Amino acid sequence: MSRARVGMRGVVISVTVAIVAAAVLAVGIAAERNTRRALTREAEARLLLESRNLALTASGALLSDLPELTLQPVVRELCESRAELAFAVVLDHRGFVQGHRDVRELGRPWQAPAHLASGPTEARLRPGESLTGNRDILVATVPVMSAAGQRLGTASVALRRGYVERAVAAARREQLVLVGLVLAAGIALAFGVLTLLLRPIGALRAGLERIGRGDLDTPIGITDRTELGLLADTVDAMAGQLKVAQREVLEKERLAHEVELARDLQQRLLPSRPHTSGPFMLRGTHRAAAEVGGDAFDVLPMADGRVAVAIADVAGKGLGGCLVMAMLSATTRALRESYRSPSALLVALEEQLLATLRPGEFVTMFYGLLDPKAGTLTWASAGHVPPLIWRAADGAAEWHRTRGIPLGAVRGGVLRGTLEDRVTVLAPGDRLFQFTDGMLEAHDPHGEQFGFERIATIVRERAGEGPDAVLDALHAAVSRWTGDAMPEDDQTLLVLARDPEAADAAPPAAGPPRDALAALAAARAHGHGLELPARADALDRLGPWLARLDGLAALPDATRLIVEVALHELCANAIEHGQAQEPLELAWVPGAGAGRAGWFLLRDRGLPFHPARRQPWDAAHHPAWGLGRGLGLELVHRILANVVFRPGTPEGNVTMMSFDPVRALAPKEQRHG
Amino acid sequence: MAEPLTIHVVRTPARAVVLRVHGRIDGRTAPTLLEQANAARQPGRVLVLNLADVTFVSSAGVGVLMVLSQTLATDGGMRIAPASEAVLAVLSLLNLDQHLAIDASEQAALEASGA
Repeated sequence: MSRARVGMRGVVISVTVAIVAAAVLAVGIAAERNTRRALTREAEARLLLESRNLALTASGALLSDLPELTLQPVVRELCESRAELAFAVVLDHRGFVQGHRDVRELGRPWQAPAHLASGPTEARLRPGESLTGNRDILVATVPVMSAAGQRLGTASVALRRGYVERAVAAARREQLVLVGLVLAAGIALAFGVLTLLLRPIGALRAGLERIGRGDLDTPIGITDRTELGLLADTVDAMAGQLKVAQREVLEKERLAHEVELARDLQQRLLPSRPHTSGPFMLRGTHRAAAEVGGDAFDVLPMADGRVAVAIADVAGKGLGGCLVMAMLSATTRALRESYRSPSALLVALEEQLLATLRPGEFVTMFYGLLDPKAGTLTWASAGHVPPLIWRAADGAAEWHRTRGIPLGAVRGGVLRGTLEDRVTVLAPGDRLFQFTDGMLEAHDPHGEQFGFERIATIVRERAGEGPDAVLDALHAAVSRWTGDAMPEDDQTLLVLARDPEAADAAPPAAGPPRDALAALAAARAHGHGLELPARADALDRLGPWLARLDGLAALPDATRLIVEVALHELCANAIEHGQAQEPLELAWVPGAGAGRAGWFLLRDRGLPFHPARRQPWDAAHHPAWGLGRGLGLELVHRILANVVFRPGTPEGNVTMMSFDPVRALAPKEQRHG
Repeated sequence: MAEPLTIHVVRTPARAVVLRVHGRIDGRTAPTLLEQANAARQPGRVLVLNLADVTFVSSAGVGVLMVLSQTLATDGGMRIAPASEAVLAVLSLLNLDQHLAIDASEQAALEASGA
């Protein structure tokens, strides 16, 4: 909205002119009145004087026989010398004209002008004198007296008022000229002063326009000492602050943009849909950390029908980590057709990456080649979280640890010596899970990590429902574990699943027996039960018992021994935690049909034991070297991978372990160094 | 009932002490093994455990072996020579076979330790 602009100069000058004009007018009017009065007074005085003079002159003439002879030239002379006089006349005592400018009037009776009246006057009138006037003239009448005091007649002199008016007008004109000059000078002065004062405003306006356009660097540049100078300083200060604020906003936007870029980059690198190849399905899920992390996975089909699968974790967050990941992804794609051996590819990858990785930066990576026709996955792991393989036949979940170190962790080609290619056979229904440590290390409010154990437990419990169910259950469980806190590290999960064959009409996972007591009773009836007093020496009876069981009797002693060790550990645990006098009950439930694992059941009635509190144990780091503490359960899990604990049920504490005698003999994997 | 664990102590000339262990090393017997090992060993001399006749090892047994290995590491050392199938099976399950000195025979152990 723009309003009509009014110049300040115009306003000030108009106002000034108006004021001055009004003043001048008032003063002028008053002055004129005074002038007129003064001039009138003066005129009256002179008129009286002249009348008196005429009267004096007429006094002698009127006593003579022919007064007109004397008087006429006098009067005429008077009138001619004074043009402003209307008339001058001498009258005798009868009122007849005795002296007049015009000879024809002589002897006639005098006709006084009309409407003569006497007004207020300041002149001092002597007796017999009068001052009268009408609109046009002013008349002074003086009696003519003889020496003896006899009244002989009157002498009148009249003045035209116009004379006064003309003088007044002349004075007025003079005044106006003066006023005009002063006014002009005043306007010029006002103009000049205003221009001087207003010039800084022009500069101010120009400066603000500059700021509006974004130029925050040039100062206003007014060195005025009036309020305008102050204003200019304030504006300069404001411009400076604006500049700082602007910089901050730009920085924030840049950072936000960088995070956006990183997230976008990460999303691009992650395959979005499941990939199928023959009976195999590969699917990954990814939950990003609050700060963009460095996890990524990739599924890369190859020319010959094999599928390369990679999952990696860059130990560095933000855009930097994502760029390393992008490079890794690109290089993997480029190299994959050239290497049949995953270990060799990882070594080549490290060589390429060393130029990009900064000291202290490293990448853990799992790389595998799936052969859908052969049903095998050949893989190697460079320091990555071990894959978890779930077997459909017995529901067992095994961690496959390796000795590989991360890419870039140790320079000088050390990596090659730590890597080995593993060939894993994936039977129908089997699943391989690959995690990054974001899920493993997710910790609850008390700091306890989610850990291998819980992951394996969830996999075992849910694997029967399909890989997606496992993924969902894992993510949900981790969320619950952390209390729904934002993940600190990316949680990435890759699952490689082989369809169960159509022939496997029954559900692939043989779950543990639902009714423990019934199973125990049935086993006892079949001769597969064992009751042990809760004493350490009773455990020696486990070996002979195992040797009698269907399906186990034919196993090599070494294999059965390992099973005995596992059962021994669980029973010893039950005795130790049990503190009860009740005996332990054991049962063996053989699997129904070939390819089905059987189940060991152990029941005790002591204090419940919660396996979830156990920390994963690893050979390089033993917190307690005391008599086997912590080793027992580790042994159990490495022998009987599928262990289900049900502590604190109404039937007591029930532990169930699956065991497949057939699979115990079959080679699960070969190692190539 | 037969004794679950029996230990014979053999002192060799020069610097080694050999314990020949027979039977089961489990929660009951492991403390005995530890006691006798500590009693029998000589400071600065290698301790050789002949576990060829050990038919069963539980976590407690493994624990004793690890304790002995650790405490004797700077005091002559501890070697297992030889290990029975049972012992090897359990140790390798835990990857501990990489961390313990295991020799094929008593003779080999004595040679390896310079006795």
